[in-house]
Amino acid sequence: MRRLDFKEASELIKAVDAELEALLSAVWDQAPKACQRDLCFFLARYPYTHFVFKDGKALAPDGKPLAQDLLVAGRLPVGLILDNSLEVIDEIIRNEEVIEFPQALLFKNQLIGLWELIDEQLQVEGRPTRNETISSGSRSLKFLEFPTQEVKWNRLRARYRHLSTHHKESVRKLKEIDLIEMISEIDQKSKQWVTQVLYFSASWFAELQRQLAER
Amino acid sequence: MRYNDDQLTDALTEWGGDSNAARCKAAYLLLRYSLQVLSQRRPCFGLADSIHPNLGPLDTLKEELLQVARLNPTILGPMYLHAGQVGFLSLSQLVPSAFEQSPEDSLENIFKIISRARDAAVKRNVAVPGLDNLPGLFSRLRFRVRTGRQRQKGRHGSVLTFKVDCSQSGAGTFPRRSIPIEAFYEPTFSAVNLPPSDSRFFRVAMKLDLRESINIPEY
Repeated sequence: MRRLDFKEASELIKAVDAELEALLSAVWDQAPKACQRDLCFFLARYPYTHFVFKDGKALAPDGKPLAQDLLVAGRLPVGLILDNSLEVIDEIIRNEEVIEFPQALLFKNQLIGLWELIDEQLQVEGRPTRNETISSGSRSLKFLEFPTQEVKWNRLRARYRHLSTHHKESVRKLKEIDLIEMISEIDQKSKQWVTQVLYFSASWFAELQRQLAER
Repeated sequence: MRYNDDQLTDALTEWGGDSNAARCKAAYLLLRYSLQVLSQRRPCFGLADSIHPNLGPLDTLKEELLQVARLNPTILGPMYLHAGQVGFLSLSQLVPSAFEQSPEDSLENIFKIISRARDAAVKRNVAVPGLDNLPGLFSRLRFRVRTGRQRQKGRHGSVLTFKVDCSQSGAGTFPRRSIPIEAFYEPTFSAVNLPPSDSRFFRVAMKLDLRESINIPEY
């Protein structure tokens, strides 16, 4: 994750939401000089299929827990989606099989963690425990045709030698995402595709509170 | 969006007359998901490349995987359904255990669960969200199921495509009316380029249609 000061980040923000950039700029201008350097952002680039949240826990692009000082709304960060998309997944377990089904899509210029932040600021009681799983891009993509048949599987295996020999039942149970992750060449190449999220530092919300209190 | 213990679940499991948990779940999801898709609160599936090119590395998957195995290059992805559009949901992928054997019979049993629950709710004069406007909902749905029973001639001979009429209560199930396979897929797929008959996604699938304005209440 790369730290960006406001001047660096403002162009990125303006490109996706000019109104938000203008509002942040007003907050930044009114902040004491000594505090302005803390009003920064962290740019996270999540490769395709990497989790942004897993079972409600915020993750960095490398899969490790997100830095504690970015968790501003309870246990959640506030971030702006700069491009591509995130997919909210419903994980359903049936017969010990995990089914990932899309519940919602989040696109460029949407803020994640905003409602949770508002709840936090308003000290709303009885807030639900967050258990979302959110990924970079869609893990739920479906191929119209799947290499279930042996002849089609073997064509793949001719190119990707480390694939196992065709086993009808095993291939039937495979999902698209499993197949993508099984073939390391495709997995690596597909991870060049990223969704960028710009996280706000906690200082933004402390400063915002300070300015609101002064009014 | 989790409704595990709501009125609709209770009505389907208690009044649906079927003790099979997977089929009750499938009946619930058929109603709940289709209502949410039609009221634009949940995505369904459409062609990923033309509608949302920002869902993933589609070109890599096509070139490095689908072309290598010489498979149909079409990728389906989640999308919100807007007025004038159609989309699909795969019931057999959502609840595989409900359709492991005889998918056509399983789907029929799911319709029976819904029908019995609706009739019981009417009899008891109880309003159950999700069961109170079935004709409006089902007018927007078409079904496609692989079947080994009603074989017909042709490339898609073992596939049934139909709509159901649930305007009459007390019938025990819903009368079906067959529709041409092309009508199930149009306008997403052309008549000369239909999905393969053994498509996993379409094993038991629904087409959701927002091309005409019918009022679908939100739940």
